[in-house]
Parts: sequence; C-alpha cells; structure tokens
Amino acid sequence: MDFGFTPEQEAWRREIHDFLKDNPPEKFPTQSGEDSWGHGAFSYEFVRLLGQKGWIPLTWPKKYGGSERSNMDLMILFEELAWARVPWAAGAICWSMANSILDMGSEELKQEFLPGIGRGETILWLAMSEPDAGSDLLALRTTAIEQEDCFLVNGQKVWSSLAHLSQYGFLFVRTATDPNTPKWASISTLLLDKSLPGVTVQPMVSMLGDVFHTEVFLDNVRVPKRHLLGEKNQAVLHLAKTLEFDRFWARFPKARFCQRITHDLVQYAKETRVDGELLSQQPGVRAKLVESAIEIEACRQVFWNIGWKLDKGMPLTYEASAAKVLADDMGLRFFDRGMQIMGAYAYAPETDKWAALRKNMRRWYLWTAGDSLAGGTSEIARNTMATTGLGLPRK
Amino acid sequence: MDFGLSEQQEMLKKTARDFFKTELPKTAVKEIAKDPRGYPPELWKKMADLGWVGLALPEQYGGSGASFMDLTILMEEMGRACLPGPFLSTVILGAMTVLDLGTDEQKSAILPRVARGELVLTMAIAEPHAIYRSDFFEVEARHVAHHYTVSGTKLFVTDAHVADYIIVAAKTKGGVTLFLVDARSPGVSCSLLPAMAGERQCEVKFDGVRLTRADMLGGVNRGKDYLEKVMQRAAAARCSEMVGGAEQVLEMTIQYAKDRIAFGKAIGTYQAIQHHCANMLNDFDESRYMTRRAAWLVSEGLPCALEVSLAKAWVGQASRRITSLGHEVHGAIAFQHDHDMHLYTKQAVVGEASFGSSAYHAEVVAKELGL
Ligand SMILES: Cc1cc2nc3c(=O)[nH]c(=O)nc-3n(C[C@H](O)[C@H](O)[C@H](O)COP(=O)(O)OP(=O)(O)OC[C@H]3O[C@@H](n4cnc5c(N)ncnc54)[C@H](O)[C@@H]3O)c2cc1C
Ligand SMILES: Cc1cc2nc3c(=O)[nH]c(=O)nc-3n(C[C@H](O)[C@H](O)[C@H](O)COP(=O)(O)OP(=O)(O)OC[C@H]3O[C@@H](n4cnc5c(N)ncnc54)[C@H](O)[C@@H]3O)c2cc1C
Repeated sequence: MDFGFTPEQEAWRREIHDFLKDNPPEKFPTQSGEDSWGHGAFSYEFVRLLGQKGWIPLTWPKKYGGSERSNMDLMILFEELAWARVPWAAGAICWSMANSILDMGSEELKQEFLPGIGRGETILWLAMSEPDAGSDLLALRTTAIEQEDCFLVNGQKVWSSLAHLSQYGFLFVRTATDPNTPKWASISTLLLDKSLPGVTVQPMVSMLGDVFHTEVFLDNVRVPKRHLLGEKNQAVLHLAKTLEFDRFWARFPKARFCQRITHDLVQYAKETRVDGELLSQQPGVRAKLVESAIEIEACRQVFWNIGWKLDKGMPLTYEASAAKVLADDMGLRFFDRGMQIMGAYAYAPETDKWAALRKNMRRWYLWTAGDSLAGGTSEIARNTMATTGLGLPRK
Repeated sequence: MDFGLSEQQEMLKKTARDFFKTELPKTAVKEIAKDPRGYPPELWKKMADLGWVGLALPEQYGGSGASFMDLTILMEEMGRACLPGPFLSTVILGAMTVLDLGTDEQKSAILPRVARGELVLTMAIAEPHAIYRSDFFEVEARHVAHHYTVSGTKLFVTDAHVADYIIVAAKTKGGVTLFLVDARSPGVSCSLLPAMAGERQCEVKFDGVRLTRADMLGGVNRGKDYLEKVMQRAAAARCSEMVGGAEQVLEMTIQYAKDRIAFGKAIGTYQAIQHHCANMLNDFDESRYMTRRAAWLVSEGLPCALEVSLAKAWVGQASRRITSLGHEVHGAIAFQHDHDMHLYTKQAVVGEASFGSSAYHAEVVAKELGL
C-alpha cells in the first residue's frame, strides 16, 4: 500500500502548476460559459495550447502523437487543471471519445482523427440522446441506412452538449431496422462531420440563460463509410466502455474543483463579517464548510482508487457508475451548502473582490440540476451498481 | 500510489478471517457480552500464539516487526468478527506507547509479556470535563519530595477492569505527563460503565496513588504532544474495525436481498432495495479508502492530523448509514437478538463516539482548513 506520490509525479504536478501560472486560464477568451471546469466554460485558445504542450494525447501511443504516460499522470494533470478552473468543458469528454477511437477505430480512422484531437483542433460532441431516448438509449430512432458509398442518416438528436462549438459528432444510430433484430445488435457509431449537407445544429437556451446544449437535425446526411467506428451493429457492446470512460474521466476532476472552491469559500468566510462576527466563526458556516471538505475527500479517494485500477489494467464492473453517483451527489450538496453560506449576500452588488465567486456560485448551483442526469442518470447508475456490481437479480 | 494489499497482508487477512470464523461464532460474541470480563482469555492466548498481539512490536521484544498498516488490516477482520476484548487498548494505546516512550527497562519488562498474551494494558485519557483536550485535565500528579501522587477520576478507560497496567495522562506542573501505573497499586479503583455493544469501559479513580520517576513514560511534560499521536493511531485503528464491520453488513445485506422473497420475487429485484444497497456500497468504498490512507500515513510517520480526522468524521457517520440501511433491507428479522445485524449496529454507534466523535474530528478539520 502506498498513498504517496513519487518524486517524478510531484515534479509533474509542479510542471503543470508552473504552466498554469504562466498561462492564467482567466486570461483566455471563452466561447461558452464563463468560469470553471466542467460547468460549461470552453475556450478554443486554451484547449489548443494544451494540445501544443502535448498534454491532450498524454497517454496515447507515440505513433498517434502521444507520449505513453500513465493514467496516474493524466489524473494529476486533470486535478491541476481543475484546481485552476480552466475553460475546457469538452476536454474530458473529447478525451474519452478519443479513447474509444483508439480502442476500436480502424488504423485509417485513427490516422484521420487522433492527430487533430491531440492538437486540440478537432472537438467532438456526444450525440446519443434523442427526444424519446434518454435513459432508454436503445429506443433511439435515428437511422443510418447503408448505401453503396455511405450511410444515409435521418433523425434527430437532443442535449448534444457544445455541438455548436465542435466539428464532429460521436453519433449513435440504428443501422439494422428489421424489427426482429434485437436492439443491442442494431446500433452503430458514426463520426459525423458537422459540415456535411443536411446537418442542422440548433442551439438550446438553458435555464442559466446561455447555450450549452443543442438539438441536431439530420436530414439525408451522407456519412462516408470510413467514418463507421467499430463494427456495424455492435455499438452497444462498445457503449459500456465508452460510457465508463465518460463517467469516470468527465467527473474525475470534480473533487479537486470543489476543493478549490472550498479553499476560496474558507478565505471568503475568514474575511467577511456579518452582524459583527466573521463568517468563519459562525458555527453554521463552519459546519457546512467542514462537511463539504470531508465529503469531497471521501469522493476523491474513490476516484483515485479507480484510477489506480485502470492503471493496473484491472477490470471495472460497477466502479464508473459508483463514481458518477458519488461525484454528482457530492456536488449537489456542495453547491447547495455554498449558496447557503453566502445566503442573501450571493446577490450583493458586484463591486468587491468576491463578485466572481458569488456570480459563479449562482451559476454552479443551477448547473447541479443537470449534473446527475448528464452521462446517464444517477438512478440508472445505481441500477448498474446493484446488478452488475453487487449481483442483485434483475428480475 | 498503490491501493493494493501486499501478499503478506492478503495472507494475514485471510488467516484472520478463517480463524475468527471457527473460533468466534456470533453466538459466542453474544455470550461473551454477558461475561463481566468481556473477553475470553483462551482466545486471547490463541491470538497471541499466532503472533497477533505482538504483530507490530519489534522482534527483540517478542513481536513480529510488522507495520501499523499491517495491524490495521488485521483489525478490519476483528471488526468484521465483532471481536470483544482488549486488543486496541493493549496494543494501540498500551504497547505502542511503551515502545515509543519507555526506557529499555520498561520495554523489556512489559513488551515481551504483552506479545505472549500475558499482560493487558490500557490508557486513561478522558475525564468528566475533558474528552481529549489535555488542557482541561483535572487528574493531577503532584510532585512531593521524591515521588508523585496521582489523584482524580478518569472516564471511558477501555478494559481497565482487566488491565494489568494503566497508562495515565496526568496534569503536572507545566504540562501533561504519562505514567505507567500497576493497576493493583493501592489507591486505584475501577468500576464498569454502561455499555451498548460488548465493549467494556470503566471509570477509574486514582486516590493518592504513589508513583516515582521510574514510572514515568517519556519524561516530564512530554504527554500533551504525544497524546495527539495516540489519538491519531487509535482513531485510525477504530476506523479499521468499523470498516471491517461495514463490509460484513454490506455482504449479509446483499445475500439477504437475494434470498428473501416478497410478492413472489427476491426483494433484491425491487429498485428501492437495489438503490439502498448501492448507497451502502458507496459509503463503504469511501470509508475503506479514507481509512486505509489515514492508516498508511500514520504507519509511515507522515503528517496525518487532517487525514485521520477526515476519515474518522466520515467513517463514524457512514457506518451508521450503512447499518441503518442494513436494517431497512432486512425488515423486522434483524431487530431480533438472535440475528447478528445488531452487533454491528451497536459496534458502529460505539465506534463513532470513541477516540473523537464525528463532531470532534470535524472541528479538527475546521482548524486544518484554516477556519
Ligand atoms: C448537462 C447535461 C449534459 C448532457 N450532455 C449530453 C450530451 O452531450 N450528449 C447526449 O447525447 N446527451 C446528453 N445529455 C442527456 C442525458 O444523457 C440524458 O438527460 C439522460 O440520459 C437522461 O435522459 P432523459 O433526460 O431523457 O430522462 P429520462 O430517461 O426520461 O429519465 C427521467 C427520470 O426517470 C428515471 N428513469 C428512467 N429510466 C429508469 C429506470 N430504468 N430505473 C429508474 N429510473 C429511471 C431517470 O433516472 C430520471 O430520473 C445531457 C444531459 C444534461 C442534463
Ligand atoms: C418494532 C416492530 C414492531 C412490530 N409489531 C408488529 C405487530 O405488532 N404485529 C405484526 O403483525 N407485525 C409487527 N411487526 C412486523 C412488521 O409489520 C413487518 O416487519 C413489516 O411488515 C415488514 O415485513 P418483514 O419484516 O417481513 O420484511 P419484508 O417484507 O421481508 O421486507 C424486507 C425489505 O424489503 C422491502 N420490500 C418488500 N417488498 C417490497 C416491494 N414490493 N417494493 C420495495 N421494497 C419491498 C421492505 O420495505 C424491506 O425493506 C413489527 C415489526 C417491528 C420492527
């Protein structure tokens, strides 16, 4: 057992830290969201800079531009980026989709996509959900009929995050339309070029008042055959893995992100006096901050444990689902406490140094309404934990 | 970073699990709870023969030279088995303190006999008006001529009624000092306190107990800082027991959910039950990794004040949630004495309160956060 980091890992952490000091994330223009990791902020410029550093393909094989580093190194990178609250909302998602390409793509497909993703120039979005296929994803209706030279795609996707800023969709489609074929053997993954004729991306305004999701309409889109990822009709078998990556990596930085905000809130509480008393001396405020600190660390340890398992190549069963539930429940309670700590002052005039924290807290709180749904709902994840993880009977 | 157990740790865990399965059925645990001694000396002797009492003591004192981490892996199994008796008090509170602070004579006199299972030790810290903060101690050791006299009342002293030696933390001029007191010394009296699980806690009164410098552990006024270390060790060890207990609760609850039929189906098919079980699993995993990290830091002698308190605060609450859901899934059957579930429920509740409640450790966390 060893819960420490090696000197090389410590040095790696410092290297990232120094890089972020030289390139303060808040100085980059953003095209979406305002602040924070994973809560919608996105900056092309920042993501490309990460690409230039070679940090997007960190763990990939050398021949695709990677440097074959360990998952541990990637986790350290993610934690530092989260602490600095960098604007790369789609980062982890892109990373997990790139992993799927590495995993099941043809050599041709890897050569076509990976270098661009690695440079931070190709951004992908996840196009799974449909109006009548959310949790029950296999009910999806978008079809892709194989023709001589292409797949002819018709249908509609919804909740496609950041598609308006991306170039390619990771698209789930029905390729076998015979009603006697079981659903699990009828779905395929296509890499959808957004600029193809027949693709319409319609931004959706969220409850925060800005655009994060889009609706994607597909009208006789001719997707070249080489953009089929993995075997035809076999996407469901791969889906578990794609989602596992998504659930794990997209949430891995959350604990560290929340620790950063706790750090800021502690500072705020130590400098803010209400009714003659510092907030940091008020028992209710202290209790909320401490509860958060404890819960965040509990969550973080589970994520590191899973990362360690991934690194060792150990099989995962329920872990990614468990991590998703933990992180999203934790976040929900965390931002709720954050709002309570600020109380009425969450809406104070935006003139002092805490203005950004207040404004972000209001945004982050609203975001938690979506967190437990994104990437598959927490109920579905608990079902997976109980059946796949604990072996409880399905019927 | 490496979350895995070593081969030896896996072996130790397995041996301990098998041993307790045969040597300590739950019927025996329930019987022992009625025995005023609170533990079976024969079992204690067998554990000593297996090298467990002296596991983390150096070989020169008859121990096996294993680490604190190894010890906590063993203690997970003790928690799973609901082992009653003075293991934590003798080993963690007593022997490790003597090892750290004792003179060569003290170590040679005490430790080999501990390892052989011949001595029970404990430590007296808390008082009626001071749970663990030594600034508020009232038990005092007065320096009179060439000796010290100790007077006052200590509370929640685990296993003092069967202890051969009690390490007492007493106020001395300018600080706190630890003394190794023969439990049969004139002026020491002990009475059992109310118990929830099979634990034995005592009120120990010191009435002018006469001691000399040779009975001191670690010198004058060395006690305050050292007590922090004792607390960290004990809290980490307690968490390990609670994690072992929680694992057993999780496993028996899953098994029950698979076996129990209601409305023509196993209750484990109902989503309400499935989600209870999933929540138990998450609480358990978090508890285990928090605890192992804290124990590892203690074991390595690294700074661990924050991590131990994070773990104890979390595990205290999480194990209660786990037992509470365990009861829910079991229905009324687990409300009965014959069932084993309540042993864990009680163990979790007592564990939460010992060596710093969740509230106590939350305050440590607050300080560590800079609040
Ligand atoms: C912030 C955010 C980002 C998203 N990003 C993307 C994206 O990039 N790409 C994409 O394709 N999709 C995305 N989604 C969509 C997301 O995957 C779906 O919202 C999710 O799968 C749930 O589907 P639904 O909203 O249709 O809810 P429904 O499936 O209709 O579920 C409604 C409720 O019923 C529960 N429920 C459903 N089935 C069961 C069951 N079997 N057992 C127990 N409870 C059940 C659900 O848990 C939920 O509470 C995003 C969603 C959000 C909120
Ligand atoms: C303190 C106490 C006093 C009692 N007093 C009396 C009394 O005076 N007289 C009397 O006759 N009985 C009494 N009972 C028994 C009580 O009514 C039953 O315990 C209760 O109905 C549950 O039945 P069970 O214990 O067999 O659990 P089970 O029915 O086996 O249930 C086990 C678990 O499965 C869950 N479960 C079962 N079916 C479903 C489902 N369809 N969907 C979701 N979850 C499900 C339950 O909620 C529970 O969590 C008492 C019980 C207690 C604890």
